[in-house]
Order: sequence, then C-alpha cells, then structure tokens
Amino acid sequence: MACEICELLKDKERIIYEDEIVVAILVKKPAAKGHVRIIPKKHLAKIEDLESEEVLQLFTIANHTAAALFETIGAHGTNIISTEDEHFTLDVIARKPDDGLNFLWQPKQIPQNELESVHDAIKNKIIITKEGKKSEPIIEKKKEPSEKIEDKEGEKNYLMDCFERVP
Amino acid sequence: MINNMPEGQISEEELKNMSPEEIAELQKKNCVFCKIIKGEVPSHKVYEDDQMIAILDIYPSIKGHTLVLPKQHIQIMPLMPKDVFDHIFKNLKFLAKGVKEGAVTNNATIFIANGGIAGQQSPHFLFHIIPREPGDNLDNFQIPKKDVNQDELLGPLKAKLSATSKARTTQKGSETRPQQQFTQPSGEQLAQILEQNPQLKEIIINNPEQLKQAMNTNPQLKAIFQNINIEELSKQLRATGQKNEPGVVEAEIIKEEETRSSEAASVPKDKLLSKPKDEQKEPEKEKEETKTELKKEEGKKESEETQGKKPAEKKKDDLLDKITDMFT
Repeated sequence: MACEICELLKDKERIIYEDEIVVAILVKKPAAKGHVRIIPKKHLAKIEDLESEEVLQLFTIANHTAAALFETIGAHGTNIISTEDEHFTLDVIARKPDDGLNFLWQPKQIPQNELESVHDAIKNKIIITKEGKKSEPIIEKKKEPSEKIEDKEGEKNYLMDCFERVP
Repeated sequence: MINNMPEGQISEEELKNMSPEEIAELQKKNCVFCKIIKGEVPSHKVYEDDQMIAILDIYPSIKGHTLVLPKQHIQIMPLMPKDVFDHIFKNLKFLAKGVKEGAVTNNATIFIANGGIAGQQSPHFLFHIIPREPGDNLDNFQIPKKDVNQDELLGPLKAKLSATSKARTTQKGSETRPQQQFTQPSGEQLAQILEQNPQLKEIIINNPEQLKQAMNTNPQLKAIFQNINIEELSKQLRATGQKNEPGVVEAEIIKEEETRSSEAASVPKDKLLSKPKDEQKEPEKEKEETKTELKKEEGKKESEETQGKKPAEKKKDDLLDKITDMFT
C-alpha cells in the first residue's frame, strides 16, 4: 500500500516550502488553523534513520514555520510534535487561547529503583558519533547530597513550583 | 505559581529599584535548570557536553521521559543562537535513539512547546523526548484532525518561508550559504524590524542583557545593534508599550504586538518576571513626563521618516531576511 505521507508530497498545491531534504505542507485536516506538517522526502520511519543534517533541516524549517505562524496569524504559541509512524513527520501547530487543544500529559510516579535503572540505561545508550568516531558517554559528576536543598524549605518549594508541569 | 521568589534573598523594595538587566540576571540566577546545569541541584543527567544537557524529567509522562536543554539560559526557541541550535538538533537523533534504547521502546515523540499557552512552563528553553510504545495511553500526543479550512494561509506562509528558509545540502551543510554583508539599519528600518519580530522586541524590553550576549555569537545581531544603546532602546520600547498615545503611529502597532508577543513568550513574563514587572511600573511613573516627551519626538521622527522614505521596501525585506535568519 502506498505511504500516506509520500502521497501528501505529491499534492504540490499544498506545499509551502520545499528543498532537497524537506517539504512543508499546509495540513488539509488541521488540529487548528495554522497547522503545518514538515516531512523528510526520504520515506523513513525513525529519526535515527535520517542523517544528522536532515534532522537539523527538519527542525530548522519547523522553527521558521513557528515564527511565520506568530507573524501571519498571530499565534500566541506553537507546538512542534514529531510522529514516528511509517514515515517520520513533524507537526507545527499554532496555539491560541481556548483552541480546545491540550497536548500536555498527567505526570506519572516512577518508582525510585525503576528511575535509577532507566537513568543508567539511557545514559549508557546515548552515544554521539561524529565523523565515524564514537564519543565517550558522559561520566556524571558526583551527585550533590539531596539534603542540600531539603534543609531550605522555602527554596525547595520554589524549585518544586518551577518543575510543576500541569497548569 | 512561580511568583514566590525565594524568600529572604531579595526584598520587594530591592526589586522595585532593579533595572531590567538586574531582573534578568536574577531570573537567571534563580533558574532551576541553570542550577541543575551548574550541579547545584541534583538531577538524573543522561547526557552532557559543552552546549547542552539531557536529564530525566521529574514529572514524566512515562518512564524514560527526557528533557534536552541548552546550557545557555535561553528563554524561547527562536532566540537560540544558530550554533547552539545546530549543535542540539544535529545530535538529536543520537539522543532520541539512546532514549528509545534505554527505555526499551521502538518509538519516541519529540515535543516542543513555544509559549505558555502551548505548555512551555520553564523560563529556560527545553524540549521533551518521550519514549513511546503501542498502548502507552499517551493519547495527548494524538494530533486531532478537524474540518477547518486554512487554505488562506497558503500564500502568506509560502511568502514568509521563502524569505526565511534556505535549502541545506547534505554534503556541505550551512557552509554553502553566501557570506552576507550586514549593515546597520536606519531608525525606520529598526522600527520595522522590531514591529515584525515581536519576540525580539520582547527580549529587548525584558532582557536586554540576553540580546547583548547573543550579539557576541551572532554577526547579524551585532551589525544591527552595535551602535545602539540597548538599555535606552529597552526603556523607550517599554515606555511606548505601556501607554496608548494617540497620534503616534507606532504606538498602536507596538501595543498590539506587545500583547501578542507577551503571550508568545509568556513564560518569563507571567512567571518569574511578573512580580518585578508590576513593581517596575511605579518608579516609571516618576519619569513619565520626560518619557512622554521623548516618545513624542520619537513618534514624530518615525512618522516623518516613513512618509519620506517609501523606496526602502526592498532593503526592509533584506533586513527582515537577515533578522529572521538569525533565529535559525
């Protein structure tokens, strides 16, 4: 079956930007007025299948599109959301008050031991390669004793507030 | 909710007397992510280099939810200097791959929020890498499809993007860009630049120090602002934004732009800056008269210039091009 996203690339009328690597299209059934989809021309599903430069160009165009949405329709904010389906896409969506959209999540409690194990696992798996050479994974600096913030009640609450995710 | 500044450090009285630069500095000093970067606050760091860090989110949507942030205290994505932006997004695939492998999932969602209304809740720009798997119930990332006709945007967006975006070739990258000569804009051009770039204006108003820092890394910005007294510009813009002076052409537009852009970058304003901002208004009243006069003069000059100099259109486009360029 033909890829839906590849089909979109053929609809030249909806293209608002195109270069060798990416195409930006005005979405036909948008989440809101001001919804653009940035698509790599290569039919690849995962971000890691793309070249570094291609990923950079996708996000550069997404950033430009976000700026353009601020200017053309007076967006109050923008969301950029990637989807790894059959064909990687990046959606740029203009946001306005009372637009009925909400992409935020309910924070989850992760048990401490699971947190530590996923921390170690991710830390060990992030390996940035440059020109074929592997970089050293980072070695984390010694953790500050957690009492340091615990003993300052005021400060701690402030920090927790800063972290608050759900409005 | 972040209105409670750490107590016992700075009194309200002191806040009143602070300049925007000092307030920006204070905001930076109190930024929890800057503290994490400096190692003053513990975190679960998964990657670090000279320009960025990645940490586990302490309020995750799912196990392995990772935040990526520039080390520099940058408030919003469009303000990232090009070198920082390029560095982070060139390496994003390695970060995303590591997050997926570490969390043992096949997919990940990358989520960016620009502006408070979009869910940006930190005055330090960051974005999310969220490990995904079928049945994870993270339906919030499902993008709705609505029967909304947005075809009228085709033209304007096409025009904007063709002005701001340049093709990148995989072989040579950004080096293929021709070297441009950046010239300093006239007062009129500067006004247009600011009018067209509410986010830039917002920064000049609230955080001139950040602009100065950005000038060091960005030749376009440097060329535009090198001979301009940024503090003075900041003061002027603030004064213009707060009053609705009839007869001044700029004021209306600026006012409108202000409301819009304050929403766009509402994180710093609504949160960390909201208190200092309100306080600022008072001392400003004292200087009201001098400022009104200054502004009147400015307004006059501006409108005279606009009338006298129509053929500046082309130049303006070039400049806009450059200015938007610097947001890459």
